[in-house]
Amino acid sequence: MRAFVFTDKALASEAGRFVWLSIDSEKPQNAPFRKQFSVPALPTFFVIDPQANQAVLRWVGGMSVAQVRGVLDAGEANVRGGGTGADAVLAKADRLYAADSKNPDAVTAYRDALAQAPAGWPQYARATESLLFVLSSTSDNEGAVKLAQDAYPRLAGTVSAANLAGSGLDAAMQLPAENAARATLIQEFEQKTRECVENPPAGLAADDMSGMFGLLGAARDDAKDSLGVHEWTVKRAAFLDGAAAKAASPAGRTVFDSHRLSVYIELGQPEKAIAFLEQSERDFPQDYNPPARLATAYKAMKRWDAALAASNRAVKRVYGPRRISVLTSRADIYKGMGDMAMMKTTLTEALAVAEALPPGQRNEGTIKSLQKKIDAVSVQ
Amino acid sequence: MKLRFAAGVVTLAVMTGQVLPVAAAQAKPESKSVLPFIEDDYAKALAVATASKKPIFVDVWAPW
Repeated sequence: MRAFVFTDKALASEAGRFVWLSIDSEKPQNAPFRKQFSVPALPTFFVIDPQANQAVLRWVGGMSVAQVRGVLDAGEANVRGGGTGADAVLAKADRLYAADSKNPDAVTAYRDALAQAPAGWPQYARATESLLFVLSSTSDNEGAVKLAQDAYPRLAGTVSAANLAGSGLDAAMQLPAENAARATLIQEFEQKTRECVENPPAGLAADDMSGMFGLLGAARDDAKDSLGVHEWTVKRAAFLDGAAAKAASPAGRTVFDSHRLSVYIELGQPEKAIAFLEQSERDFPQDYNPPARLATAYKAMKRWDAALAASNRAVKRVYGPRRISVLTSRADIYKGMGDMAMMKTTLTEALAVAEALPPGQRNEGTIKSLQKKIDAVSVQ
Repeated sequence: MKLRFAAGVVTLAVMTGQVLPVAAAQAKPESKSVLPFIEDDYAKALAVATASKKPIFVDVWAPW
């Protein structure tokens, strides 16, 4: 989004309509914002009514330029109020969903809005995708599959349809094995997802494409087709390498670093990530991500000294909750080196970081998980 | 909108530091936004928006 959408000159004309706020969720000063507003995943976008100090719309995940415009229009209308029919019901659903992504009342309201929607309703795609997210968040996989099936034909050829295809496939794979329709549904959405990858709609972000490649690999894995998994992973690597090569700037290229690292580790070729990660570290010497990823790559290669050196550079630069995962990764490096004492010391350091985080960033699950890991080291 | 499957979305477990993320799509500072974002200051944004009677658009992200 920040590399490819908010830099698009097509959005410059929107600048005067809103007050624009960027929140780095890792920074401690933003913890109160994180506490006040529900952020289930990143990126998350809000439209906030400043008079009420409340969110009137939330969007989770990336957007195309056209989708940003749709969110701006809808958010402005929700602040203004006074809509009627499906628009009024949608505004209510948006407020409920903005406050709580698992709110069952939001499901009911979105369903009501869609039921009242006139033909050609401009909010159809957004309402559908918002409902899909609530259903996904509440693990209503049958509901998500049904919604994706119903809405896909109406949105065919759009970025939203690609999302429906991918989300539908994801939800189908999470159906219980005893569901008689499971295999057929996976097959149906695998086909739709493949169509979107082979003929992507205009505006579909390259990192979304990458996610769909990954999903197609997961579908082959579900079918116990290891050759198919490998084929999709190889295709994904080629796609990502091509996207990185075409990036207009170092910042645009590094967007793909994490995906490329993941794919090359999956292919058993982590060494192929070293060169582009080293380039990213040279381009962004203050950024902790390149050395943190280099540590992961070297760890996969069992080059423990190089992994530790990269991890040390990352630890010096990292801040916020991310410090925990960088330290946890370093603990794994020590484990690989057979240095269990340093593994425990590093995990204990990570625990101290987790316990010191302010409300809004502090996570009890993380603390419990780290304590469990420390205890496991103690008994070895 | 991207859901669980999508590369551009990182879930809460990752955000809170339980997992070293391998999926992220955020830009470095050199990417110049065409929109005048206020950085990391909700109170300031709220004050400006209240005074100008404009809604606030918020991008919650992470540098990973």
